[in-house]
Amino acid sequence: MEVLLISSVFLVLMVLGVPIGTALGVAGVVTIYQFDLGIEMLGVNFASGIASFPLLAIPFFVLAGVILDRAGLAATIARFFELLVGKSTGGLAMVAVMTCIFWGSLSGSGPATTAAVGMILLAPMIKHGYDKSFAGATIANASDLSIILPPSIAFIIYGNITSVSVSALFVAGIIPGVLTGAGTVLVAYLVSRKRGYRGLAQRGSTMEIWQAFRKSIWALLAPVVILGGIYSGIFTPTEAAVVAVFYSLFVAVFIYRSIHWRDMIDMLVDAAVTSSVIMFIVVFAGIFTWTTSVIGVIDRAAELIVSIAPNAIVMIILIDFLLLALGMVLDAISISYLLMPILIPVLEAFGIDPVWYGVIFISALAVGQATPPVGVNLFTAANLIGSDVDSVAKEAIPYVVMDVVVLIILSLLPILSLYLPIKAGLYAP
Amino acid sequence: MRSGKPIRADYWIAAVLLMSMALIAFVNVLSRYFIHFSIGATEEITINLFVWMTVVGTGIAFERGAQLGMVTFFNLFPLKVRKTLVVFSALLGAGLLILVCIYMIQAIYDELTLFHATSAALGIPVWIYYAGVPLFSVFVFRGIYRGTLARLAAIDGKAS
Repeated sequence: MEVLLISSVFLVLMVLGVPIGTALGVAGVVTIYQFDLGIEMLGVNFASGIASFPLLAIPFFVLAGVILDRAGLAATIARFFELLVGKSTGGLAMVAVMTCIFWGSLSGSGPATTAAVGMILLAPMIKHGYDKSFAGATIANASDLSIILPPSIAFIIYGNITSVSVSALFVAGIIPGVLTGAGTVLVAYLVSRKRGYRGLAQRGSTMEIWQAFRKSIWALLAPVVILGGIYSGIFTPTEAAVVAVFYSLFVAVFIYRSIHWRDMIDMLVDAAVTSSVIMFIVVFAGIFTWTTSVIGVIDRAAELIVSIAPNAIVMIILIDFLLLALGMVLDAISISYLLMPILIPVLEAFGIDPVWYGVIFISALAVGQATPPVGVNLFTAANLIGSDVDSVAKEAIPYVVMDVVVLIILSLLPILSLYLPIKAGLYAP
Repeated sequence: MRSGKPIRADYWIAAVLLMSMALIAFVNVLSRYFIHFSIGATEEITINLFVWMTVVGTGIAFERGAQLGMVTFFNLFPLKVRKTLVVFSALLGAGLLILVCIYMIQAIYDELTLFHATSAALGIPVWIYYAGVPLFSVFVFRGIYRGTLARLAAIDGKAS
């Protein structure tokens, strides 16, 4: 009865297009009220759901991303990659992928990366004869890497739910992210070669490349500063995020001189809003999850999964498919809150490492974000090129196949995810 | 915004809160690594400013129609049904926030009359931190109202 109430309220509201945070909150509150679980704590729980030091990394990373975006650094980086690989077959496609990988790791948001890089590279790609749907699909898919590569908001949320070290998760995402990135470049190259998408006519001279490199060095250094600090254990992720804010501000104001102090209010408001959209889900998802755990849904669902899946591999694969399906319709944060509380006891039952699983979980979600029929990145890309989602989705298929192959490799080889965090001394399984 | 129009109150508040959070956290990082002195109280302040900022930001997000939701099925409904759903969704969101505020005000009242609890690091009464939630919720209700009007107008625009 309790299960039926909370899940049906949530599902009906979702289908009716109610914002996810509202739907989670209403489903939780109705259940708390109906079964007298202590509704008077709602006010205080709302505040305590937000007031967490690890979650503070979210507004800071968002702000750093907004500042770098406003400073126009995406274009500078794109220019550098263009001089480097633009001449090769499928040059612009590979430039797009590399810029997305780099930008995505800084911005931490798939749709935001799709928009930022799409605005710069879609027009030149189409002008050079690329099919516009292919161009859109390339950028949408490469952008989904942003939630695997650190700093990633999805990992902060995963750490918040599972109590796993966010530093360890960030470092664990490096090799899988680079691997997926390499796979994406390869697919872009192969498709371009097959279709005869040529490179740019002129090649950058060594001098030009050097100048472009010098121009983008400060942006290229940003992830080094952030990740280096976390890898060496100097910063917690929240501290790294605030250092990233002031690093970006310094670079944008003093080096590139591309933003003025009067832009600050705009950027701060945008970052506050983006972060609030995430926190609005986080806070009510927390209340929803707490309710489901009190009425016993989580235990029962976990037992069900353990009884269905004969072993860890089958369990992981089944959940991967579920994640791919959910990722097509929901955002990564909501899915994490809906599924991870159930999966924590399941991971324990099968003896699965939670950091390794975090990488698989987030990778599967990333693929879902760029998977036909309705991944959020595809929507953003389709909007940018003024095309329908279906044709972009069709062009995304080769990328998705590659993503799934990488996901299987990551699922079979935990060492790819765990080597770096263990080596850095951030994690001991 | 640069067109000389005055900056709105909620924009100012959100911006000042986020900037203060960043500055306080940054100063603490610097003092920890350079003079090996960590100001323990800073964490308490930043996370509570974060709560306030989230409330103000949520209001602006509602107004901008930025809240995430599933639109797949919503877009299948006829326009008239969609308008009803937009209003329904706004009422639910506002209702949820009203409940949060009612119980928060209750908690503040309890603190003032019964518990008199003080915060762990700074020793200031916790109701001061609580008070930001109902106070800044005014912006959420306004945001929901304006956002809903904008969405209804957009649907009307599609109909004509």
